[in-house]
Amino acid sequence: MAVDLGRIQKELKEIERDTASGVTVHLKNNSLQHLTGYVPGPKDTPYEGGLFAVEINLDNGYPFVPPKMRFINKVWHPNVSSQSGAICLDILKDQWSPALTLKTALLSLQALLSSPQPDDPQDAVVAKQYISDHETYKKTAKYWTEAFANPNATAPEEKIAKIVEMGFDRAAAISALQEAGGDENAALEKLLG
Amino acid sequence: MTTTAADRKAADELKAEGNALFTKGKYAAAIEKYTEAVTLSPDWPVLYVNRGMAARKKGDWERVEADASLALGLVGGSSESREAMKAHYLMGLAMGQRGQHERSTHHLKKALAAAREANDNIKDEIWRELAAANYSNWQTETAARKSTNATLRRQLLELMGKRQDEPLPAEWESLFRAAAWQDTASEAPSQFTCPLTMEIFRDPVVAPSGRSYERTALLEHLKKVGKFDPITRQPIAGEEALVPNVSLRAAIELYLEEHPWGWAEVK
Repeated sequence: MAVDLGRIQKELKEIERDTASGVTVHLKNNSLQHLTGYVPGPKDTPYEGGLFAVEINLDNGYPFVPPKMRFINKVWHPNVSSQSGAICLDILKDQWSPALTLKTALLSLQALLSSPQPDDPQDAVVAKQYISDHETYKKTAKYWTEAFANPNATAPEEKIAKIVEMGFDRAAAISALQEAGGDENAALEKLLG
Repeated sequence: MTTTAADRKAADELKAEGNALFTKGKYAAAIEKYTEAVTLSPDWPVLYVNRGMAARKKGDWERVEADASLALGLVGGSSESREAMKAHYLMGLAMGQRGQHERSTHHLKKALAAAREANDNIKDEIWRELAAANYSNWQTETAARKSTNATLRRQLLELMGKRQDEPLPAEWESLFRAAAWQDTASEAPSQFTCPLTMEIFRDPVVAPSGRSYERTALLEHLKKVGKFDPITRQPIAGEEALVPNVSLRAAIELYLEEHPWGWAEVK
């Protein structure tokens, strides 16, 4: 069965209307099945001040199969792969319900940033550090947030503008820059595939 | 003229042949068989209904109307039978083709009520036709209202001695806005939309939790995701545990009458 495009459009409208939640979702290449979500780092955590980009792929069958989500920028967190951005979160796997939405899933990611679950790790190294050397974990996570999830540093307006001028979509330019940690050339390489 | 048992038997055979042709998409040939059957057993409503169904496929709306009318004459006032339900359905479609909106929806509503009563699968199709008819009627009405409003606005500006591109005083603008409320599509209240489809309910069912869901969406969830309530996660045994939410459906029908743009969503 195909994805429910009507529902995705409704979801996007609802997210646009609800500015209070803080999370946003944007189209990537004008496809309703490939989107980019943005989650602000929660206050009083090492992720505060960061804006975390999430790649969202909606497979056929959505919303009866969970959305596929991974962090685009690098995140230091026990339940996120520091290599690939893969996320370990039950609602994105066996605990998914079609009554959940992209908005609630992104808010769950935000909650996950606030409350790591080191007992069910995605990244064993980070999880070990989280338990045995919490101070270093906090410092590293904060450093990674500033280096890779700082919206002003990784995707400043002039860099976005340059890439958009070359004929790329704005949302695609931002997520490529974020993935490349602000390196313009690396971002372009990603876009050119 | 009374039909003898032999005639009825022959008519029954012809009907079966007609039905076989119908399923193969050979509508003209099916119509011929039904017509032959009618000459043998003219008081059998199902023959007119089936012939009307075949004529509908061919787009022969005069035939559809004539057969629906003959069938309705035979079933009388009862809308209990499947034939009566289908005859109302055909009549509703034929009236719609003639642009007779009121009569069209009158018959479609009767057909829908009977189909729902019998839980016949055709109910979804009838519902879509009714929604499409109501939506297109709203489009016609809204266009007429808009053009009336534009004329009134022009006359008003003239009377006020203003240029046509000048704005009206705020009070007049708000009056025009108030008059256009039925023509302005907005979002349906969330209690009228399914949490799974996010659209206005067509056929809401209540789960044991008391939550309502669109029937088809919840069934797909039970089949593909799991046998639990999508919101409360309490177990749901299966389709037999679901009850049609008749009250919610009635409330939505009332809402759609007042907010006819919503029909676009339930088509």
